[in-house]
Amino acid sequence: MVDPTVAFNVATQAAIEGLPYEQKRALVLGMALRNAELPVAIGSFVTGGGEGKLLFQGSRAALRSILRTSSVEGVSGWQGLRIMERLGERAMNSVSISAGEEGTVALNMTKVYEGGSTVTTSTINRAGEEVSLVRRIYDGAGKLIKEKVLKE
Amino acid sequence: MMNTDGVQGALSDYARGRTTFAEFKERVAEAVTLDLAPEGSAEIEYRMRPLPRVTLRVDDVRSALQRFNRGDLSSEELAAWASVMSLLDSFLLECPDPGERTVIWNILEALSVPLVSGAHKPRAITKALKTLDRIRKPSSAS
Repeated sequence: MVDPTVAFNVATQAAIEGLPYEQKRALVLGMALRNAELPVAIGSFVTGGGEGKLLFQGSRAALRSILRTSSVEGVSGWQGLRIMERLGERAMNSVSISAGEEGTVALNMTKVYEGGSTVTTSTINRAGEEVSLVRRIYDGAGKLIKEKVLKE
Repeated sequence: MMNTDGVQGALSDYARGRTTFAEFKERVAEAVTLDLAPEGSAEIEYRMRPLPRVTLRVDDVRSALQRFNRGDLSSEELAAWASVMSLLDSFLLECPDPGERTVIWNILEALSVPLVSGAHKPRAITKALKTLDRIRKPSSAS
C-alpha cells in the first residue's frame, strides 16, 4: 500500500520533471539548507550522460527527502515511487542510483556489518516495476565472497 | 496465464513456515526465479509484476527463530527464508510502529546474511527474540 502523501509528492516530482537540471539541483539544495534535519551533504550529483551514469549518491534519508520534494535527473515519477517503496523503512548505510539500459535505473543499497557488507541492486523499469534484484556479499576487506558454505 | 492465487498461497505458506525453500521456489517458479547461494548472494528475476502482497507477522519471524533454536530449521534454511522475506517486495510487515518495523527489517536482513552479520550465533538469536518480545502486537497498539 502506498502512503497517499508519498504518492502525492512523487506525482509532484513527476510534474516538475521538465525543469532544467540546474533549477532542480538549486531547488533541492535550497530545501536542504532550510531543513535542519537533512544532512548537509545531501548527495552528489554527477553530470554527463549515458548508461551507467551516476544519478545520485548519498544517504537513504537524503534520497527520500529529495524524492519527496523534488526529482533526480533521469528518474521518472514511477521509478521514484518504486524507489520510495523499496527503501521503505529499511536501514541502509548508503544508497546510489545509476542509469541502466532502456531507461531503467539501478538502485544500489549498501549495508555494512561487522564482518563485511552487502550491496543489493534493484533494477527498475520506466513504469516503476522492479525487473530484477541482485545481492552481493563482501568481506571486511571489500572482497566479493563467493560460494562459501555456512558452518553455523 | 499465471495463477495469482497460487503464487499468493505459496508466498503466504512460506512466510508462515509451512514449506521449505525448495518447495517454495518450485511453487513460485512461474512468477519469480530465485537463485540464492550459501554465502548469501542472491539473484531474483520477476516474471509476474507486481507479485501479490502477503502479510508478514512478527509471530512469523519469532517462529522462524524458535524453530532454528530447536534445530528444526537449518542455518541455510533460516538465511533463505529471511532473504526471501527481506528481498522480495511482496511482504507487508504487520506492525503499526514505523520504528519497530525498521527494527524487524534489520533483524531479517541480518538473518539473511549470517556470514557477515553473525546473526545466527546463539547470543544474536537470543537478542533478536528479546527484541521481538518487546514489539507490540497490532491488536494491542493504541
